Amino acid sequence: MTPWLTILLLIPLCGLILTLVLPAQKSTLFRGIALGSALLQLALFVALILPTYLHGTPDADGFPIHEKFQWIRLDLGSAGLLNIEFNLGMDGMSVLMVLLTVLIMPIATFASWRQTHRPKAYFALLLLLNLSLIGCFLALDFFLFYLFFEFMLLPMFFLIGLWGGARREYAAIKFFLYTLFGSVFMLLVMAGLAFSFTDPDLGIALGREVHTLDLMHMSVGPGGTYPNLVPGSIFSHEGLLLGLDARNLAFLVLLIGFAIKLPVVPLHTWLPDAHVEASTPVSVILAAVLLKVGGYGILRIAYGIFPEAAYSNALLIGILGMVSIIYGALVAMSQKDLKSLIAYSSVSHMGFVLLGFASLDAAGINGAVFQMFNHGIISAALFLIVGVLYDRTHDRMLGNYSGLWERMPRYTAIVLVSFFASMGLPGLNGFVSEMMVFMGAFRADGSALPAWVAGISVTGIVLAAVYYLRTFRQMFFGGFQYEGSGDAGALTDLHLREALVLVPLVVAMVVLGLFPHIATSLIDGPLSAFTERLQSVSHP
Amino acid sequence: MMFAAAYPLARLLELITEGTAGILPELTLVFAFLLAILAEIWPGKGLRAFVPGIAMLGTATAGILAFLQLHANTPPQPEGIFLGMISADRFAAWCKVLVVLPALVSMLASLRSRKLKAQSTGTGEYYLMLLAMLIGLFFLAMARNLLMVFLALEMVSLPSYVLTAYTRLNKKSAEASLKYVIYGCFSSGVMLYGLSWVFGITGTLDPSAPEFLQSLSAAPAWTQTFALILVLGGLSFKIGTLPFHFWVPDVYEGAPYPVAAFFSVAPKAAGFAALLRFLSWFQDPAAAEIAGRLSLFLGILAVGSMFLGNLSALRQQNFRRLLGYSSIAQAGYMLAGAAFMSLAGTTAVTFYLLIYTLMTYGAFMVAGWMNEQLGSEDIDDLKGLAASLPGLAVVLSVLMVSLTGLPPTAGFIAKLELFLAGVSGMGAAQDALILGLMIAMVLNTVISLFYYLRPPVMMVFKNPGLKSVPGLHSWQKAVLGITALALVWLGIISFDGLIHFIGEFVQEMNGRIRF
Repeated sequence: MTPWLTILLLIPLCGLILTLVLPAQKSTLFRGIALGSALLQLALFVALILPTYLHGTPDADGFPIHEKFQWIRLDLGSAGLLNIEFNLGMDGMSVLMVLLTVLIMPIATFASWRQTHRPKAYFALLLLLNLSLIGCFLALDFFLFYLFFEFMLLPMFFLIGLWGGARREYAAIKFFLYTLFGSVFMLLVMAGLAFSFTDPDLGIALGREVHTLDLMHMSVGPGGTYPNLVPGSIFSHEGLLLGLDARNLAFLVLLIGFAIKLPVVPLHTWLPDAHVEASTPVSVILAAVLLKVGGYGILRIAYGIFPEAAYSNALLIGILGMVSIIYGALVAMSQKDLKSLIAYSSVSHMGFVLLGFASLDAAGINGAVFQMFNHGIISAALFLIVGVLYDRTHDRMLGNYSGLWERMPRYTAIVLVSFFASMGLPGLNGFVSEMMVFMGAFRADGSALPAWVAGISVTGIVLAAVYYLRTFRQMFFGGFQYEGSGDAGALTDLHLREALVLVPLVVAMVVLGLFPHIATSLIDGPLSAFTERLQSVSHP
Repeated sequence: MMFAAAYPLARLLELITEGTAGILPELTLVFAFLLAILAEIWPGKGLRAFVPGIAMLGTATAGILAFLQLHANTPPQPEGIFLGMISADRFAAWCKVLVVLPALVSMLASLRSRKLKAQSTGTGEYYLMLLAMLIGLFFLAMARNLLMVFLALEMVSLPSYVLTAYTRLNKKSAEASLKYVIYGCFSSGVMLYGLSWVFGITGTLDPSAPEFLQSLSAAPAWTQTFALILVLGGLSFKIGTLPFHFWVPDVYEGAPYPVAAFFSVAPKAAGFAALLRFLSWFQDPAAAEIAGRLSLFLGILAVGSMFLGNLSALRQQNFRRLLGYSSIAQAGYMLAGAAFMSLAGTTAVTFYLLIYTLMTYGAFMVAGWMNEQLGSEDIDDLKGLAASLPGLAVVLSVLMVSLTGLPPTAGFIAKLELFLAGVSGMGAAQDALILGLMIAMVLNTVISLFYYLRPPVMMVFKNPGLKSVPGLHSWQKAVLGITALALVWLGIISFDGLIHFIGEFVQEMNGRIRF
């Protein structure tokens, strides 16, 4: 069988190598290489990987597509061997995330078409980011995941810091430090896990104790048991660290690491800075894909390895989600800069993801994953929308604009749909996933999450309606007027390149709003099985 | 002599002749040293030009011989050679290789250095001193008997003082050298005092002697601790950690740059070799109590060095000074590994030494380019150079990311190995200490990011000034390119084989312990 997932990773790598060997003078070639790689990935995904995923028979771990290669066998001395595999797989948890990445990357690349400042470095970094993002969603070995997870910091750091706004360096370093702070502690958990799980089959084959970081070997088996857990190891159920439950501690460390990325209030403060300073395409990738790594990590790694801690911390996670929803929305209401308004609305909308996770209910978790996908589509459109204005006037202050619909009718239509999708209007995609999240969250009353958490969170939807409608009225209604320092004459309607990137996103919002089944059918079965296993631990 | 009593004269001579085969690399160095002296003082000065060549050839030959000692056929030498004074095992050979590689590049760099060429007194003694220091470093890597450790340390220190002051008309060089001598003498005194206590308690300086551990364990706790802390204090001078670290930033900044680059890595490798060998005697169930105390003491030094090095580095403008403080912090990480007092810990530190050598030496080569060609070591003067030197920007980024300890570089793997070693030692009474050390390492990784990122950020993010930028020599490009490639290769492609190899000879070294 052809290792299509590996090839999906190799495409941006080849593009990167090609970019690096070509001389910097060929400045218009690099965007072509980047776009070509991204489109090739999209084509490969839609034409080959998705059908295999849909029609393939899942293996023992539940993966219709699973590629494993022997990679590193690290000597652990008397403890045996640590087997690290180049292990990629796609299941219901990751399929939408990978799809999102291959959808957004060509859009972001195309939106950078006019990048003239150091195009070689820019597109090389974009390809590098592409590689590490997809790698993160596909990796099924903790070590491999961690490599990709950490590695995406570097290209993002340079992308914000080199092609951003006035305070870009500050924003880039803040982004780097926040995420690094979360992830270095994860390294300690990884070191502990390296001694806690074995690979019995390989152990027999090699004739010595073989430890593994394979996420599937670490996850809970049927009946709420851990067949591969080493008894007496740090993360065994009796494991104590300084008198505290080691598994719970490790769960919290992982949760904080991923929560910074998601981001969750109060660990979110890097996000508005990064968004405001980053250029439009980088913002698009950041909001649409990068944040999802946090959510995906919580589900795949933290929940996957320590399910019982997920249950005992459900209330904490739910409250964090609730606080993010309300706080993000309240702060968004008071923003004068359109881009930071959208950044804070991202914080608010990622809160729904956390709320869905906290419910530990099939509908809630399905909804949360779907919400991540939807938010990816919507936030990409929203940041592109800001970019359209910014390109024309270099002014994002929403108070400076009014009556834009007169000058930019097509733009207004797209903004309208995107705003409505983001605030969760029925018939658009945001509504479906938010409803699923709330269904799960309310259903969790009495088990994982008390109903008041979900009840208070609902107000977030109302608040979103307030800030979006207010913004829309301010900017688009009334007679045309522009009070900023930019050139009012430049405010023309969308041109073709802008329409080309925005229209597919808007179409996706409508289609997924009317036929959510298209997306949910991809994740429903496998994710429900995952939730069942989670619940088998929480209700023994 | 205390040994003489144990052996008849004939057997003694036999042991010495047998041992000679083990010190071939050292004999080569001595031979090269003598040859170089002859060439230097030969009447008519006609042979002077050959001194650097002789030095490099001798070093290279010694390096090859040391490399051959790494081969699995080298006997483990449980008893050591020369009556247990030294041990020419594979562990020592590994450290010798780590010393020789930077020595060769530094000699090459010295040959090409304008500032050294401009020296009115010539450079003959310079290479002689480097050779003498190498001999000392080799013996330090092998030293088994504590007296030998002390002698080798002095053998390293004396040429270092001279080399630091080599460009003595330079104020910084003179100041650095004076500081170096003062701290060096003080720490030697401390160590010697500690050795006298150890000898007083045990009646021997040979840690393999049965009475060594027995008497030490039987001694009152405070005398044990006092004596061993003094001995470790002396060693901390060479590896540049608390409490004798004060010389590090000054010497790194003030010494001629090829020498400073060499000082930043080679004495650390040999010093850590001596330290790890010394600690291995206490990794014995019979010495658990002493090992616990040593662990605690080393742990405190480690945490102190990490925070001190990293926090001081934050405010540095001079790149070499920054690297000086960085090396104190890096030595702190390695000390933490040593504080685990386990086979896994020793293996991790031995691996870290290689990675440390690559990263720090590479960074120093960049500092050397700044010193010789750019004409300024101020980090701010790197501003915008990425536009004209993109390759250097990439290499510097790799070096700095590796020093921080992030993937996909070997610095990450080195740190991961330390963490794995820490976790493998957990589950006993040492939990709190090990966990504390690991958390300190993690926090320091975050702190260090601030300053490690500054040079690449300067190069890449800032707008260039208007002055023309000197390029790199091809040898500089080669050294930096190979270093960066090695760091990425060991960071992502393959490192398990190397770690397995290191684990083998570390076990051999540790296996000498009698039970």
